[in-house]
Amino acid sequence: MEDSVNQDGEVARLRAGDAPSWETLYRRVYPSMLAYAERRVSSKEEAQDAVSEALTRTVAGMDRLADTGATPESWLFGVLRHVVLDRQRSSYRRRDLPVHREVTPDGPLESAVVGDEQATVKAAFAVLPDRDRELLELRVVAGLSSEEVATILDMKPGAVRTAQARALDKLRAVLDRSEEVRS
Amino acid sequence: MTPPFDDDALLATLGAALAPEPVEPGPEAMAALHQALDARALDAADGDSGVVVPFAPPKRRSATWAGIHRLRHPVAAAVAVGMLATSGVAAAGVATDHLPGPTRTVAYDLGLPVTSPALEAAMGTMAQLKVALAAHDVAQVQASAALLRTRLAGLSTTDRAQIEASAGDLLAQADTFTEADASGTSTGSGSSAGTGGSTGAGTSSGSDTSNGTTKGGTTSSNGGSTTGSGDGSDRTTPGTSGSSDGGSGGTTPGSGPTGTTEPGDSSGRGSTPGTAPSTTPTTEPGDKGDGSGSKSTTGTTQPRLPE
Repeated sequence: MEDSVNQDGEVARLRAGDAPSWETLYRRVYPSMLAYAERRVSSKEEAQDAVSEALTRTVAGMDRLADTGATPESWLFGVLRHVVLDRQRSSYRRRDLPVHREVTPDGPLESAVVGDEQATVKAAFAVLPDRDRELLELRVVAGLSSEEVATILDMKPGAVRTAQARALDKLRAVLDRSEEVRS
Repeated sequence: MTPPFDDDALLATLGAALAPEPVEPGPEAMAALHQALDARALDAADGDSGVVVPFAPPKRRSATWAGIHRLRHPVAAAVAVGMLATSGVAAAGVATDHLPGPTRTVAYDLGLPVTSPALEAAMGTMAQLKVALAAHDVAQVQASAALLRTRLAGLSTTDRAQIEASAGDLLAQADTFTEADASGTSTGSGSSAGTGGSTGAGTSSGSDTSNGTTKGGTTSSNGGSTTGSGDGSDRTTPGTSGSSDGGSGGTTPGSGPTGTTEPGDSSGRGSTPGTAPSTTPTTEPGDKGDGSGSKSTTGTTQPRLPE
């Protein structure tokens, strides 16, 4: 309840164009937004541009923020996702797509075998399909709820939960396989 | 390592593995944020709560001028400009109903909302008549009135209904003016020396009708046994300057009206049926009295529009 009140107050300030509130929000979500973008565009600079563009678009559409009932974080990630998709399409037309992360014996999976736990999990995560990676990233990196992720990915919350469980199963299978390789 | 099998544990491990580095947005990013906020504030001050455009788009020519600018041939450009100008003038002409005659005729035939040429001509004649009345130009008044009657006769029912009242008033003014003018310039005075019968000579003087209200003739006779005098008639008609003069006095049966004297008339005292000149209904407006005792009448007292 208190969180809801605080969130409503923040949304009201953001809608009013309160610069300190926007700065606070920006500093809070910037790392996760940048990480999300970096994994999807070809360079760190382009990721920074994508985050900045997403923020500009969000400021422009702040009037609609309260109407959707979404939190500022989920709103920002939803905008960022569209910006990244636009850039991915543009990069595809320019034939400068980022290197596709294929699962190869000498690729990330091999690194996962020899690395520590987090590196293993990170490597296993890298071999998941794009859709699964995006969903898990929005859940664990952006910290969004199933409902918020459902809004961003245009899915039902129940479908998000099901897809999440399925993605974790795949991740688990990859980790099992890596364990077998190590042993 | 032993992979975590619990979903929550796996999510926690994944979150730790994917945790972003603690980075701060750079000065450029913060500047972009403030720029967006400033643009949003300016837009809100303008009362437009729509989407903010942080950077103003470059100004562009309008499509029309851009198209003309792309024309390579000066002649083609001139034709294009001419068409634009003339179409604009034509549109303005139709809108304001100020068109030259041929153009109006074509436009009327095409069904454009313009006044019909006949009605326009009649209205023009009405204007001329007004000017002539204001200038006290008798000849012009008469000519314009006659022309107006002709034009009114040629109007359709719908067109005539539009100006019938005003035209009728104007024609009435014209007739009144013409008649008044005639009264001031053609006061007829006639005198005839009557030949007295046996005793004397009679003199007769007649006064003219002025504007259709005076018909008197005064006659005196001396020695005549019969005094017969009078204006030729008692009828005057607006627009006519008929005059009557004294009839003949004398011993002979005098001339006089033939029983058409209206009440109030002070003339026509011929006591005997005289041989007064008969009225001439065909007298044209502007006819002057000739002192012969004749009286002109036209028989109409109100202007009538042509049928």
